[in-house]
Order: sequence, then structure tokens, then C-alpha cells
Amino acid sequence: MMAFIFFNLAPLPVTVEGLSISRFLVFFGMPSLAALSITPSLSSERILGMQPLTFFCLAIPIVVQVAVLLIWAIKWRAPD
Amino acid sequence: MANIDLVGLGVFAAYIVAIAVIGYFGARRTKTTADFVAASGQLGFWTYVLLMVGAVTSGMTIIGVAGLGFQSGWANLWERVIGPPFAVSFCTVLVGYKMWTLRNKYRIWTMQDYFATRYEDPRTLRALAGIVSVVTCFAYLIGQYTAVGVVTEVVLGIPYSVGSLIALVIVVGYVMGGGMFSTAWTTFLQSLIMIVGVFITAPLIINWMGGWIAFNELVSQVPVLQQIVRGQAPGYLFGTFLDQPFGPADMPLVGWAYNLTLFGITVPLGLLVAPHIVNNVLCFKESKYTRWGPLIMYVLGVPLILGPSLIGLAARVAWAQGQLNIASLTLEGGVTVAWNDMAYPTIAKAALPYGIFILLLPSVLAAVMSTTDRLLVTAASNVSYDLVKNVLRPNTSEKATVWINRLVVLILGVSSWYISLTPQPMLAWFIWAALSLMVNCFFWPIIGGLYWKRMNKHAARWGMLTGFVVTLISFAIWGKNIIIPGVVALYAVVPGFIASTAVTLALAFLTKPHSEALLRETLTGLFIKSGTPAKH
Repeated sequence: MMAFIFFNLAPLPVTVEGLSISRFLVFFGMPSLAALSITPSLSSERILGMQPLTFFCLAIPIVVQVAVLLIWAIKWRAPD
Repeated sequence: MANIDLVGLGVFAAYIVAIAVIGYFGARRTKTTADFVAASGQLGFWTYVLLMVGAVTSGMTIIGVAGLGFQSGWANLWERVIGPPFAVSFCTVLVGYKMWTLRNKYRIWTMQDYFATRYEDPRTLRALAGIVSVVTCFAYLIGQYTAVGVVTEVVLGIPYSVGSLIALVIVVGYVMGGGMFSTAWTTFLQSLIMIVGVFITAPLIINWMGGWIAFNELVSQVPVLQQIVRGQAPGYLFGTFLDQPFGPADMPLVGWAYNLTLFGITVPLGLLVAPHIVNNVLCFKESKYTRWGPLIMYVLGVPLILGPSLIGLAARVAWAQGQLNIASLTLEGGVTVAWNDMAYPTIAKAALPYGIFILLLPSVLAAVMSTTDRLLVTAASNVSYDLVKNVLRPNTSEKATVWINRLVVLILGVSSWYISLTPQPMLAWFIWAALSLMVNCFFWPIIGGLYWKRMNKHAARWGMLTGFVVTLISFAIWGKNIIIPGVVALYAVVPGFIASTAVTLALAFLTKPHSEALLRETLTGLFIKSGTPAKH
């Protein structure tokens, strides 16, 4: 979520079914144009565009460490 | 050589002047060995926080992590979430909190001072730890100059050797003059520059890719894109793992076992006990800095390392799309820098407005210098303070110690720069090798010393020596990877870690622990706050 807030400054891209178009373009000798035509097909199985497992592997360690450090700060007492 | 960019040169010059002025005031403040080695424990809150962040955000973080992001994408995300940010935050909690009390009680200014006190071993262990520390800091130093050289050549058009030489002269100059005060005060400015640089450029480049969601979906398309546009197989350069958090166990670099040994052991634990990081926690003024400092370090540190990795990954997508060509950089003498390490400067040049692109150089310089200066101070302190003053010639005067410090800074700075004229294939590898030595030599003596009552000087001495020797042998035999085909791929830290752990545990159980009085006085035990021991 931190990463989302930090980096998501742009609007969502236009969604098209890209692969068939790109193969068509490659067939006609336009590989660079084909590459640019592959725009993402948004999927409900993704989280913020990421594979769910990737998203959770990124988010959970960050949340856990922030929580631990926050609890440390709240419970902190001066050393003797 | 490309044309020299005069505006960029002006920005570069302004940065240099600012650092030189701060370094001068640090030099005026430095009078004693304690000033030179640890700023006499007088650093304020923000100076300390940014010193910690700056010390682990090196040239490798900006250039090398981007290169790693280009190569392996999300498959190495572990480096960003449990790497340097974890190390500095939890070093302050686990080491800094106890050490602050010990420092005031025993005048502990270096990690070796702690060993001498905790293990009642003022000569052998101090000398051994000092020598190991110098070697590890030196290895770490070499990786730093390359990053500056790469960026000065790309941004300013001045040759690699000249760019890295300028960085050397500046950093050696202010460290020789002002030691820890100059280091901490310049790092304050350098960390701010880094933070601003990365926090601005990373979102702009992600925005250039179409935003966060589009960027991530394109990452998944890289295998197809690189096949269509570049004629490369989908699996080329870990293409099929770029959107995954890890690969199968037998894959080097991206496999889960490799991630575990490199980013679960080497980087976080190596930095947690690295001499230049542990010595930082002996420099701050008030214990209350350990309260919110760790959280702030983590919150600043994660985006600071995540940013360059995303920029590298964006460069990979743009390359696969055919929007960007990334050439390897051939330096004078025919030495070639790996093309993945050129990911950051190349995409920055393509995607950023000129006014922001030109700030890349100060950002990288800041990253390099904020680590280099701390390494130089640490290594010089090991020689002058730990080896000469406390072991070889205890009668050495304060003035002579400071001058020895300056001489050592000069020798180490110039020799590490000379070696760096032959850059490594990937910056990150050199730094990770140094971290392997650090974790295998210092993890048990520091963490065991603070939290385990059975830990004694025999275990510390032989564990450290074993870790050092076995790690060097491992790298000599296997290089960086230990691969059992079809089964597992591990980073070469493992044999040294197992050997140092086994020797430490065996000797700790077979030989007598130190007296209960000493353990009590040195706050040893399974607790963080003295007087409130946790369950044993």
C-alpha cells in the first residue's frame, strides 16, 4: 500500500487484448510497433497490477516490521 | 569521450563546494581521538538517523540495485524489505539501546572496545577484530568508486578514472581533516540529496511507464516482449521470474534458497553487525534517539532502496519494448561495465526532464561518499585506535593517533580507488562478498555477546577466525554460487556461516562463561532493557 501511494501518480492505461495485435504486426515486419501495442490486460486476479503472491511478499514484511518498530517506540523506556 | 556538460559540471561543482565547506567545519570541531573516531558521542537525532540511512545507502544502492532490478525484477524484492532498512533499524534497537549505556559507562568508542570489555580480552580479540574489520571495510570500499565513475562518464562526459579520482580527493580530504564529525555532518546533507533525488526520480520514471499498475502488468509481459522485439528467449535474463517473488530452489540469484541465503542472511545480518554500522550507534548523544529513530530509518530506507530497483525494472521493460537501448560502458583501458549497471543512468536520461536528470550525479555522489567516508573512518580507527594505541603502542599520544588516522585514510582511500579502476562485472557482487565476511566474523561476537551469557572470549575469537578463513576459502573454491544441479543454489556465505556458528556454539558450551558480575555489568542476557529480563 505504501508503494501504491508512493508510486501511483498516473492514470490507468487503456486496456486492449494486445497479443494477437502484436503477432499480426510482427508478421508484417513491425516488431517495435508490436511491442508498443502490448498494453496490459487488467485482471481481477492481480493486486495493483502485481501477482498476488508478489504483492503479499512485498507488503507483509513491510507491515510487520513497521508494526514491530511502532510497538517498540510506544513501549520504549529510557535505559537505566 | 562525450561532450562535457557545463550545466552538469556546475551542479557537480556546487555540490563539491558544499561538501568541502561542511567538511572544513567538521575538521575545526575535531580535537581528540574520540572526536575523530566517534564524534565523542555528540551527534543529534537527525544527524544520527541520516548517518545510519546514508551509511547503508551506497553507490551500489543507486546503481547496483537498479542493475539488480533490471536483471531479476521482483524476484529479489527481499533485498528491499529485509535488507539495509531492516539492518539499520534493528541495529539501533538490538545493539544501540544497550551499547549507549555501555558506552557511557566504559567509554566504548568502537566495536573492538566492546569486545575488549565484554570478553576481558583487550589485546588478542581487539587486534583480530580490528584486522578483520579493516579487510572487510576495504573490500566494501572498492565497490563504491565504480558507481561514481559510471555516472560522471554518462552525465558529465568526463572519463571514469577522473570522475572517481575527484570523488576520492574530496572524500579523503574531509575525512582526513574532520573524521567522524565531518563524516556525520556531510552525510546529513548527502542523505537529504539522495532521498530527494530518489523520491523524485522513481515516481517520474514509473509515471513515464504509464503508472504503477500499467508498469507491473508490463513487467509480466517482458518474456513475450523480449522475444518479439529483441529476439531473446522468454527466459533470457530471468525474464519469466520478473513478476514473481522468487524462483525455484535450484535457480541462482532468484531462487528462494538463494534469496534466503543472500537477502535473509548476508545482507541484513551482515549490515546489522558491520563495523561501520555498529560504530555509528556509539556516536549519538541521547538514549531517547533509539525510540522513534528506528521507525523513521525504516520508513525512509524502504522507498530509498525500492526506488532504484523499480527504476532498474522499468529500464528492463523499456528495453524489452524497444523504447530504450542499454549499452555496456567501455571505460579507458578497455574495461567494460556490465550493461545492467547502466540501467539507471540510461533510463534517467530517456525519461527525466534535463533539470532533474542533472541531479542524478549529486545523488550518486552523495550515496557513494556517505558510505565511503564512514568506511574510511572505521578502517582508520581500527588501525590507529584499536591496533596501534590499544595493542602495539599504548603510549601513543592523542595527536599522534589522529595523524596516524589521517595517514591510514589516505593509504586506504588511494589503494581502494586504484583497485576500483578495474570494475567488477556487477557492482553488487563485490559488496555482498564484503557483507559475507562481516556476518561470518561479527554476528556471534556482537549479538551473542549482548544476548547470550555463555558466549565467551574463546568462542568469539575462534568463531571470528573460522568465519573469516572459511568464507575466503568458499569464495575461492565456488565463487559466489554453490550449486547442486537440480536441487538447490545457495549464496557462498553458507559454509562460513555454518562453520562460524558451529565453532562458536561448541566452544561456548565446552568452555567456561565469564563471571556473573561481568555479565551483569556488560548488560549481557536475553533482554533488551536491563533489569527486565525476558524469559530464559
